[in-house]
Amino acid sequence: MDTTYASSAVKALPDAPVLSILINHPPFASMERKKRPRNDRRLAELSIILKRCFEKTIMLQNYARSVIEVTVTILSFDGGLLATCCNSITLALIDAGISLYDYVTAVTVGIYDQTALLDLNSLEEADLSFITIGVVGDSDKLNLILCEDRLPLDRVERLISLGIEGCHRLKQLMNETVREVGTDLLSKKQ
Amino acid sequence: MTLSPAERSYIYDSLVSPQVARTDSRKPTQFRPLKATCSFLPNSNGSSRIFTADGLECITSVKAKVLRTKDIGELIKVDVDIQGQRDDSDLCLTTSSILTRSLVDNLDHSTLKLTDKYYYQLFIDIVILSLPTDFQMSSYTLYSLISLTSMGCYLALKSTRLPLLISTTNDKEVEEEPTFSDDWESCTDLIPKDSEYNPTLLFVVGIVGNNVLVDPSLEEQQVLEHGICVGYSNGKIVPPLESITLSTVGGGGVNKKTIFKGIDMVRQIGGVVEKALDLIAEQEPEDFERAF
Amino acid sequence: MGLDYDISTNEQEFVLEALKQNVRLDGRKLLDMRDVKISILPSEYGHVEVSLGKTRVACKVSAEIVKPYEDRPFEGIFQINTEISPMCSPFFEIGQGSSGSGSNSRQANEEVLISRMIEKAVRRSNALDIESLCIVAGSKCWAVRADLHFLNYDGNFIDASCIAVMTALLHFRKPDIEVAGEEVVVYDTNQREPVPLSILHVPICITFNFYNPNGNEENVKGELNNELILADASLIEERLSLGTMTITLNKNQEICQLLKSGGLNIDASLIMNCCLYASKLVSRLNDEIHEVLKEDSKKRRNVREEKELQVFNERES
Repeated sequence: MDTTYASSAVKALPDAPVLSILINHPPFASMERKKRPRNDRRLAELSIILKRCFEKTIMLQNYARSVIEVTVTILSFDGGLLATCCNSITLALIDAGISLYDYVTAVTVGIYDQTALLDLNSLEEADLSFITIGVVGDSDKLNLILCEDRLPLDRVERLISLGIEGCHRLKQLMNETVREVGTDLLSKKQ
Repeated sequence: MTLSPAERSYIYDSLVSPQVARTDSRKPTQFRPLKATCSFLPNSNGSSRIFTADGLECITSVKAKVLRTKDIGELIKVDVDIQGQRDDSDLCLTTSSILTRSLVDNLDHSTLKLTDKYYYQLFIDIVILSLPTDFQMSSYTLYSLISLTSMGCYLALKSTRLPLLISTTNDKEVEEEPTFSDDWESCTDLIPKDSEYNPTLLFVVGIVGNNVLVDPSLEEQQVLEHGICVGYSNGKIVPPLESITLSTVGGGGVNKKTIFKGIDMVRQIGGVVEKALDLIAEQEPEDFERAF
Repeated sequence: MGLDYDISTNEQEFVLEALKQNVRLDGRKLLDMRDVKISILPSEYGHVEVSLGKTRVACKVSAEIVKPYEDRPFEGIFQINTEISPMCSPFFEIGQGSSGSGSNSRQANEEVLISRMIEKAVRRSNALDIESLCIVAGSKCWAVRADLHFLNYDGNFIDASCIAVMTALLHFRKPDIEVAGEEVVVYDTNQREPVPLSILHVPICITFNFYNPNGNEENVKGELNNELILADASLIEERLSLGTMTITLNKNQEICQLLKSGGLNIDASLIMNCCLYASKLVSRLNDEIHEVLKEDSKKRRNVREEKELQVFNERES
């Protein structure tokens, strides 16, 4: 997955900052070639969900009268679409130097019988119930939960706690990468 | 970005002078630097990704499907998707139609032939990520896209790998569906290394005065008098050979000598470009990751 | 939303201050739901109107026989149509929906979410057994469609629409049919008693809204978990809220769908509490729906018996 940035000239900017997220699903992304219409409802829903996720985490007060335009292109799909979009947007925002309160990380957790599984691939997603969980930084508070399958209520707690752990680990990894890239850039400058 | 009259005349004068001086000090036959990689999409048979100096990024994917057909014209489908443009916009349609023609006209059908009845159908999907706002409205977009997407196709096709056919290739008498080996280790190249056939590469040649230059940049494009698109494959000039709308200045005709000069130049550099791209196609994707 | 609905600062502060003291404008406690009124139109099958306070939603279910989708020959077709018109509130505009051009406007967003939510709650969770809608594999099947009409808007469309769709589906009767090979005979409702749809479970949505008494930064950085949680918000409360969560449950304590997208970050334990509380509400609402259906069927039986008696009497004389 890949995110790019472009500032676009929007007519009559409102005072409040505008965050727009566009998800692009080219026909080759999934195993079977399939062309999706531009106004695919599922993608529209995903982009609204993502937008709401980031609205409160980006320090929008610093970006009055500006547009933050995020375009996500799915290069190859193998499960965890929403979670990967979320993580890649976080990294791209950091790369673009946009101030965030903290990392937004997301991961999918599924359940098979009694076992909770982290980060399902697309085959597993097709057969198992799973939820997507998003966390801001190191907190135990949830920013995002999405569940689209039937799931017994008494299992949810376990899935959520595993998901939070996964998110924290992801945050660590992302943080390491960001700092590595940062040091690298800095050393090139000098 | 629009040039001022002074800038325009300066660039024009330096381009028409007998010693061509290009804005970025390139030789007339020189391309701007590119960065490219191949086979990075796990879900496609072949893929390529090119970054240009303009900040364009072009992703090309080749997917093959087995098709029972007699109609060989249907075997290659090209689909161009440009960020921020509608699917049915002129730009998308023009680019994909030029590409389709260039590939189909010069296609060696035996590479796609499986058996007497079955062929591979290739779906070539091209995505252009982030079109800079500078050239969204200018005719330069088409310029930059034609040769970029054709290089993308070339690389993707060169890196396309297909599963090994294990059923018989002769099914004239016996009805048999083609079956393939499950083992990806024993896959075959769509275009074998020793093959005579190379996909068409398209070059955009700018014409200004009596000079010709390849791969014009955004600034140069604004003072060009004309531009032609030339196909090249395996040491030969192949169709399409056509003029693409340009001439923002003067609007005069083109001397036919200059056109031949342009074609000659493509013949000169075509082989070099082909070799350079072949090198990329042979490179393992991991090498690139490190360079990136 | 089409027109922006501005709430004066005074009113905003009044509402929020009251919420902090566990009082809402209409006198409810934070987690109380408004009264749900479900009325079934007596003349037809599957036409239901639900009101949740001042929010009113009507749902009409209809069915016809069509050709199934080519890739799913053994399944019927089930569609839910939602379009929000200015009828329910001047904040909504015509043609601003998901199909319209303003796909970034707030209303379009809301509409996409509402329709996807209902679609996921009812259709994706297999509330309606679509395999039972198949008549002749590959050539004939029932296409059931539920048309949702939003009549008045005072917050919480999702919960009201979900109740409306489910009640309407439970109440709906399709004409009886008889299959002989490829031939299908459809009996008129007067000839034969129409048959109900096969409903596998009854999912019900509960929406919670979140408010933050301590400011945005505290929510991201702080350790306090005293975000306020509201169930079934009214229009003003919905506009002032800083995040929503919709959970869909059935009475078997299964989550069918759960969505909390962004907004305030809420502690996992609070979310679990919401889920548990929602499951209580769901079982209560479930009972209410079945109560209404039972009463309706009693009424209908009386009418039918009267009719039969009438016929009998006419024959006697």
